[in-house]
Amino acid sequence: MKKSTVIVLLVVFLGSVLVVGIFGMQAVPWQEIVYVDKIEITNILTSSGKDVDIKYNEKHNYYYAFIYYEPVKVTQLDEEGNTVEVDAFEVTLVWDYSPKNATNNKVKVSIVEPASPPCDPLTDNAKLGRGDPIVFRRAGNVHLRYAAADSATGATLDIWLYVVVQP
Amino acid sequence: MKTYLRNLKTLVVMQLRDKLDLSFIRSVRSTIIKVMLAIIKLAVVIVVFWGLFTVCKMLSVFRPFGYIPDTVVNVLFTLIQLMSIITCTVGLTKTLYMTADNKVLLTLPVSSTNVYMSKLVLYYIFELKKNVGLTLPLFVAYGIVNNAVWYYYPWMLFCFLFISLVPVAIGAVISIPALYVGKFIARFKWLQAILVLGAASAVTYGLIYVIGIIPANINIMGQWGYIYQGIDKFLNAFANVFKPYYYLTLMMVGGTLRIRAQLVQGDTFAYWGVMLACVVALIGISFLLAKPLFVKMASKQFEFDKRTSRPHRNRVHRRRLSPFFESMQMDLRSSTFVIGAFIQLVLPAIAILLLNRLYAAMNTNYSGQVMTKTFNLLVMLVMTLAFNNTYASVYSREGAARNILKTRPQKPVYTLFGRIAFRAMVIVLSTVAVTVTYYLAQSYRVVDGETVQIALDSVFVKEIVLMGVITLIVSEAHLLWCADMDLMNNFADQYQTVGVQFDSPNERNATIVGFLLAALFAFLYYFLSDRGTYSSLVKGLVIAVALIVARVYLFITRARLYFVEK
Repeated sequence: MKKSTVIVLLVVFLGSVLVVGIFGMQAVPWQEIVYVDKIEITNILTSSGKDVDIKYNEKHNYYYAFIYYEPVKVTQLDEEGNTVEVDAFEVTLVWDYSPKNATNNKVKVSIVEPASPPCDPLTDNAKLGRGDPIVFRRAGNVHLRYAAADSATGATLDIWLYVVVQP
Repeated sequence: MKTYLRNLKTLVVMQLRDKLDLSFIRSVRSTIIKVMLAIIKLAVVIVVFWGLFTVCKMLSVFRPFGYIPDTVVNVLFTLIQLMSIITCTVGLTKTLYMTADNKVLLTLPVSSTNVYMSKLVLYYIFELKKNVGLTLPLFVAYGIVNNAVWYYYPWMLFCFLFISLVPVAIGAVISIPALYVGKFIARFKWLQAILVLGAASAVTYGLIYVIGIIPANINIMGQWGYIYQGIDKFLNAFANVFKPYYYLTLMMVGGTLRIRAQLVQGDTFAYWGVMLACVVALIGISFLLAKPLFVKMASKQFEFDKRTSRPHRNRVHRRRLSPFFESMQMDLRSSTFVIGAFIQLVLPAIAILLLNRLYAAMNTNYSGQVMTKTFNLLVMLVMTLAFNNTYASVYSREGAARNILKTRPQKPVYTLFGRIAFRAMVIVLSTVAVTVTYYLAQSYRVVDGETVQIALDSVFVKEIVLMGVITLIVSEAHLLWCADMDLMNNFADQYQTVGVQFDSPNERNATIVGFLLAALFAFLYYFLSDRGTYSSLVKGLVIAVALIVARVYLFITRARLYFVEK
């Protein structure tokens, strides 16, 4: 297919979406965009089942929590794809956003420190989705950042997890 | 050096005469008509781009202050250049190493360097011609809309003399690995099948991913601020990813605001110098690596290349059906043809699915609903008709073998129909697929993450079926029209002597006719509606039937009268 034909097809396709989007919509002239203005950690759950106290550092504007490292047997896949049981400690952060009617409620979670990869002391394939436990394979500190994806200057939340060995 | 340049010029002119129809130069009248037509064509393309930019400017799509940022023209320019690199690589691989005329050219009293460079110069001229026809009007329109300084236009012409070298130089270098990869893949049918399946899976996965991320609620006007930011982010990210091409864009336009007063500055010449150095380096590399390979390939004997296959028992087909089986066998031998047929089958349906997912996310009024149906018909037609264009050179591509067809002891119309029969079948299957997809896209909606079936109005179902029938009839009529163009104005001589992708005027005309037909039927559907859109579809169907009857009659009559003569 020629370049000009491909361009015509793209123009027709995009044009058909734009024309309907501009001239064929119900008369709703303006739909307010509601941005996420606050993200907060409501609870921290651990595989040991013990309560965790979340603290806030007002001076530097971040949350932090001290958690004792109490490993349990966790099923994982090794490099060859076999299921193996390893000692690890799972921490699940329960978080929420407000207001609830935000137009785009996606929140990006990223590991700020330690720089990845590898995400030591976390497992290499650490998942950071909502409800995913953060798996520590040894005691250590992790700095996580929660940022609203609806704008570059949107709400953010920083939290330090200090996972320490019980004395 | 003087002799070298004279030889080079002779070789280029000689090959140009083969590849282009320059007979109009002999007559002043023909030359004037040809030049006028070229100017009109250029003006039309400029007006089309100017119209698009003006609409975007009026609606403040890219900037609130009524101008078009350089990142917009950069996206279009980069896409065209990337496509050029692909076409140049494919074309040069064929032109440099696989063309039959290489064997003749190497017998001439010139050096192999002369022949090699003449091929590159020839490709450069074709690239320049293509750029003048598409990319230059894009930049001229951009300059008009953004009130460019007067010397922007001559500067553009100067830039394009060098810009056209870029894809040719890159293509010449990439043609070396492309040749080896192509030859390796051509050797194994199973590898071709795996690659086709892999590519098809990747494309399908990509499209399903795109369909999956379509938001549940689209309100372009209501969410304009959000969309505006998204467009801006995309344009900047695109410029960042393809930075070298963004610098080329800056070299040509200066910048979004600089285009109006301070177009050419020190950095402009820096970009120009770097571009020229890169082109020289690439041509140098291609000369050192590709030229020896070119000489080796061009002087290779081809008589013994053909692999022998086990003899098969000759199946005798009915006399009238034999051309159909023959064409099908020839077509299905080519993996490129099979891939093309697969794309022709699947792409229109995926496009309709994507379009309807987008429409489903919009809260449209009555007028919007009619528009969505109209655009469904338009996209169905445009997509299906676009694949017919290559059939405007279906007979010419056979080169001298075309004359052998004339000696067959049967009516030529069977042979001629045979060559387009496979595409006609693909059209039928593709139209069925696209109609079923449209029906399913309307019948099933995703509400809160769950797929819900919706009972469709029986009149609407009939409309979907009628749209499919109209698409089918118009596509078949257009296919016949394309074949008819090639029948009446064939370029078999050019295809016989030229191994490159010959830029057939018939294909260009077929594109225009196809687009006009699609626009006409969409226009009729929208404006001939009378208390509902069903009536306009019935009117459209009558016109479509009249069109195919006329095309069949003309094709058969012309095949009888002119095929043997022309």
